[in-house]
Amino acid sequence: MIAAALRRIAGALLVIVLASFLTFLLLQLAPGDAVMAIADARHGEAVALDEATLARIRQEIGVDDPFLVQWARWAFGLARLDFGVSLIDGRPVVDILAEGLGRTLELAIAAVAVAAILSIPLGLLAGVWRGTWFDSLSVALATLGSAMPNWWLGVLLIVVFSVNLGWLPAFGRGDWEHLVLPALTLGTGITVTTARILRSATIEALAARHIAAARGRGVGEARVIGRHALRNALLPVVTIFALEIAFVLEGAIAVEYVFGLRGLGLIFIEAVDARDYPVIQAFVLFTAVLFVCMNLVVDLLTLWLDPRTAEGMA
Amino acid sequence: MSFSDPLRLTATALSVLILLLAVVGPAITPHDPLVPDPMIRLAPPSAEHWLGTDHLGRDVFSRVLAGARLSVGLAVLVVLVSAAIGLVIGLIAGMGGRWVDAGLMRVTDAFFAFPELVAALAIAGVLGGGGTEVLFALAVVGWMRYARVVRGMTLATAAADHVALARLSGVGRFRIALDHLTPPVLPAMVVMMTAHVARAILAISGLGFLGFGASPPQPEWGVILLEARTYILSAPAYALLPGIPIVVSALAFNLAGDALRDRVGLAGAA
Repeated sequence: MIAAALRRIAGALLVIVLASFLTFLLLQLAPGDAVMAIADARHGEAVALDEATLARIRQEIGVDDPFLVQWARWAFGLARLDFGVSLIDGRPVVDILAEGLGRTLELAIAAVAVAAILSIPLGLLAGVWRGTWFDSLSVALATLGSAMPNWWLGVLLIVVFSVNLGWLPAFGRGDWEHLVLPALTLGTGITVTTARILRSATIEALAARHIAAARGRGVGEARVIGRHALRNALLPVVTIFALEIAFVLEGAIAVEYVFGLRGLGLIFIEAVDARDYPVIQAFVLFTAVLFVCMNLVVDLLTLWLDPRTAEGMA
Repeated sequence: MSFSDPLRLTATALSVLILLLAVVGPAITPHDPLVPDPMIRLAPPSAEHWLGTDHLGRDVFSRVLAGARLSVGLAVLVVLVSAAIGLVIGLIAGMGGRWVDAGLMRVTDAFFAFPELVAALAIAGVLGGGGTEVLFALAVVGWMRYARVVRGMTLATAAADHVALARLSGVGRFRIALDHLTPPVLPAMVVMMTAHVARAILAISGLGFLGFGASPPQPEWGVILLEARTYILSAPAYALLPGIPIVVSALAFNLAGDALRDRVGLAGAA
């Protein structure tokens, strides 16, 4: 089991190294001369033609070195948590991202809370009352939810709750009221997946042999569900919530954009818009590393809880 | 899934209709989707303009119809290109022996490490936005599922007797891949591709809405909604209604994918 765990950790590390390589490769897609682009962004068109400035930038970002050397320099910087500086205003990338981290965390926690409140009853009861109208309704909602982009849901909520009813503010930030619609938008998206997984987990848990045994012993139905089935059904949900942290970050991009919340997601969009490559690369790699780590945690947790999986997933 | 057949049948028929709209949509618009009319800016829905008019006085319904070309057509292209890349990588991994397989699968894992929207946004944004750029970005993030499934099935098929026999009798690798290894993966691929069209429509309109899709004035569903976003307080119908075709098409292709999956009898795909 230790060997299996170590193998998985090594695999995740390899994937992270390869992912950092891909992230660095992204820069090569940029059309035109990166040096010109930076000079442009920083000083405007006129200075872009100044040879001395161009030479300084060339030196600064080291474009004349071979590709692998550039990648290695960047990757070693990352390992020391040095993400470089913004091409636009020269501030450290870490500072720029740190600005949005708090707001995004706030949104993420609120969204996960919404998802937990909605999805746990929805998925659990759908599984318990399998085949009833409630089950059909929850499946229908899940199906509809997976076809609905969260940014459009955001627009829908603004139109209903801000424009028509006037209950909540549509944009900007401030007190908790500004967080309600974004959290609902982002949380509903996660609810869909969570409820679906919880539903099948409940069905599976209720079909287990010890449940039949408990029923056979004459244990009441409420107790069967509460004591025996719920515990098994919640296990996949814990893993799903861990995995969803990465999805929340992804979903936050569009939600922050719709509601004008300047968190990590909106900062990322601004960076892409301005072609601020170090910021783009840092954010892209950050989400990938988070994603891989969360997957690894779930893998190791599963391995620990159920050592039989050691052979299954390599 | 507890859906009865009529719903799935409707969804499948609707998917075909939506594909058809991608072809004929721009030809059957009641008004010209590109010609502005300043006299009727931001008009609410009416008998003449079913979804109202936009900020330049263009007919929104016509723009949505014409937008099917880009939103759906591009999605189909994304799916075809992703599937082709995934098929080739999967076949090579499945046939290439242990080291080629391990190497390619690690690369696949690395591509999988990025959240789709984050990677697509970064690629499309760095390239500068536009139809071709969106196609490239979404193909880069879309091929991995196919590669994994094809590789898994190929490993199984390649070990079968008739394939071994073909190899021993001197049939080339390319012919074996084409004649023996590709046909068995096609049903699974069609199932995955159907569901992928739904995801691609969502991704394309999402990139459009965030400002990195097809460039205006070209109508594309996400771009229409991006332009409408500014007027959400004054013309909520304009900001909201063009999103309905996105939801309906994603729903239709998702359900059609479910129907196909049950028909083909694959639990693992899509």
